[in-house]
Amino acid sequence: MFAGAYSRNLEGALMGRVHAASQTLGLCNDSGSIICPPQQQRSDGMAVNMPFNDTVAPVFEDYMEFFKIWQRWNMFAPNPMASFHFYVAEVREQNGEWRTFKTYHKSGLGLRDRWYKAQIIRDLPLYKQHNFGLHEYLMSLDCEEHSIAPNRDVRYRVIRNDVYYEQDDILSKKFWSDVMPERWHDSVMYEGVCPDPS
Amino acid sequence: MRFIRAIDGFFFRKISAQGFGLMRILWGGMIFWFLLLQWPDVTQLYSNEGFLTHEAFRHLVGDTSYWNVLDYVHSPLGVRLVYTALLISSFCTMVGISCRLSTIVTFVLYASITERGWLILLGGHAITKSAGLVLMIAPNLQAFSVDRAVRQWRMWKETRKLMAHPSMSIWIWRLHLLQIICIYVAAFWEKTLGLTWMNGSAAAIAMHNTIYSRWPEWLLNIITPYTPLLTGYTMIFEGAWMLLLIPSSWLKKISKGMLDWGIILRALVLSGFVFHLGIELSMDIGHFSITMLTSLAGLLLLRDFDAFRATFNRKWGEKKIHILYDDKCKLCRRTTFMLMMMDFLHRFDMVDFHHVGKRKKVDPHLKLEDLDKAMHIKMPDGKVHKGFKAMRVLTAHIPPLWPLYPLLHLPGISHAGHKTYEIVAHNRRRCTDEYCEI
Repeated sequence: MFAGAYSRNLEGALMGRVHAASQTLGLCNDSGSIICPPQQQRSDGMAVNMPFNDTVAPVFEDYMEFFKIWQRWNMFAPNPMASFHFYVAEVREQNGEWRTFKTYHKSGLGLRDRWYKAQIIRDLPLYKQHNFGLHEYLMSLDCEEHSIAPNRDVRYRVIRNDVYYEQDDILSKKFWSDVMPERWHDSVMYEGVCPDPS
Repeated sequence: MRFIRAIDGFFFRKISAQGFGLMRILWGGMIFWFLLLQWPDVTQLYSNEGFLTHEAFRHLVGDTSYWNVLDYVHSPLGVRLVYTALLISSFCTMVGISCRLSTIVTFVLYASITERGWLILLGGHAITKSAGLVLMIAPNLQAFSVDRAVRQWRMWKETRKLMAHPSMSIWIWRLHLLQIICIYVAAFWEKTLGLTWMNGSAAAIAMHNTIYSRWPEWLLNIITPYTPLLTGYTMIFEGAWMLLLIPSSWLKKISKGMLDWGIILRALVLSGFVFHLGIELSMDIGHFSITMLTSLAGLLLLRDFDAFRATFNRKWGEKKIHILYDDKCKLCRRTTFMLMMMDFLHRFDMVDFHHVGKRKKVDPHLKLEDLDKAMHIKMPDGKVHKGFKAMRVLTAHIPPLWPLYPLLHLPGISHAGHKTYEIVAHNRRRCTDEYCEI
């Protein structure tokens, strides 16, 4: 769990929010309208950056979390954030086992992936145009990048480690070196099939 | 009357404007650089054809967002133009062209961009804006600016004298200091409410965060047992800013003369530079660290610049490098002027070699025909350098040119440098004060 102001359950929450995000940003095309009624209502008396934090951020927080594109004033106080997570993309092999083909972990990302954030930002109009869900869209990119055949099963897992301030021996070298992979929580976030490019 | 004099002194005493000049350069440069990196995504982020139309944005935020230029400009082309204007104005702020106007334009456009942006791609927006507001209303922004250099040049051309240090009333500096104290003390207070800052584990947790850590896991694991020192440093550093709320005379009285307000401030500013550079090197949290460094630069006073100079001149002492220049050559005059402008360490003594008495005093053996061919410098140890080599030696004594010093020693540079110097020196008499025909 995040320390301080933010506490959230990433499992499942992301999918629920994508629809709200689509509506808010006008990504839905059923009405043909650019603006869809936002589900999140603004609260009164918000200061300069509060409209973002209180209204847009709750809708997008998971999306922003995914691409590491958030900042907040109190990210280090009263305690620093203590939930670390990353995502892995996996494809089901012929024998039924899942093989990881992409890891969204900072230490494992190359230069190109470090720029993935910028790439996604550039590609978002495509996402808007095709009315994809976030994961469908990501999956289409990943399938294309890794030449995975259409209709192959693909899934995204979120892997998370929570640090518990009062229980963990945070200052020991052993705690951090042993933390992977035993302590990682693992859950499937999304499952689908690679789209047919045609 | 005494009361009025005290109030006058408190708010309107003159101080050097050099700290604010440095702050202006860093502020403009920081905005220019970070926004330049965002250039490819500008229309996606801020225009009607991007993620969020203006109508949708207004629908979301209602009346709570401030007025901003992008309320009136929605098309991709228009947004590009506004953004380009911001890049130009921030560059002008950095180098000091029309300082006041460019700072105001930069502030307004930067505030507009951040107000309209729905993704916070950079950290430290609020502090950058508040530093910009302070700069915008500061009585003097001219230090280290092109504007001032032009006026200096005109004066020097006429009188061979330079203008005095730029100064300003102290009230803006006090306001800026109060703002920085509030930032650090508020951060300190909030941290005291958390468990990890009090038990020493906060730095270890923060540095291991996969979202913004810059360092590899193995290195972090090695330093983990020592991170309570960093946690402690953070708390002491942030909490110590409270000392500056105590009036100077009280502080002396309480500490029986052991604590000096000015020395505490200088120590905190220096600690701040170390603190924020450390954060910048270890964590990717937008431009928060750079904007704090920028704000701290604004607190530097003349005595701090003098102390910086004295530190670098500790071994050098009062010695001078005599630069023999041709006062009848316009290019040489301009070069000499530029060297004087960059002589932050006060090591140069400019000597017109046509002045026989002064020339003989520097070195009686130097011949006029040799001096006419290339610039000569005489070092305190008696060594004489000329031409490109003299220029190369001088870069070691000019802080803004220090990055060039190792480059000028690369293989091949010396040969090219000598050739270029010869061509320029040979054609130097074709120059006017404004331009040269090479």
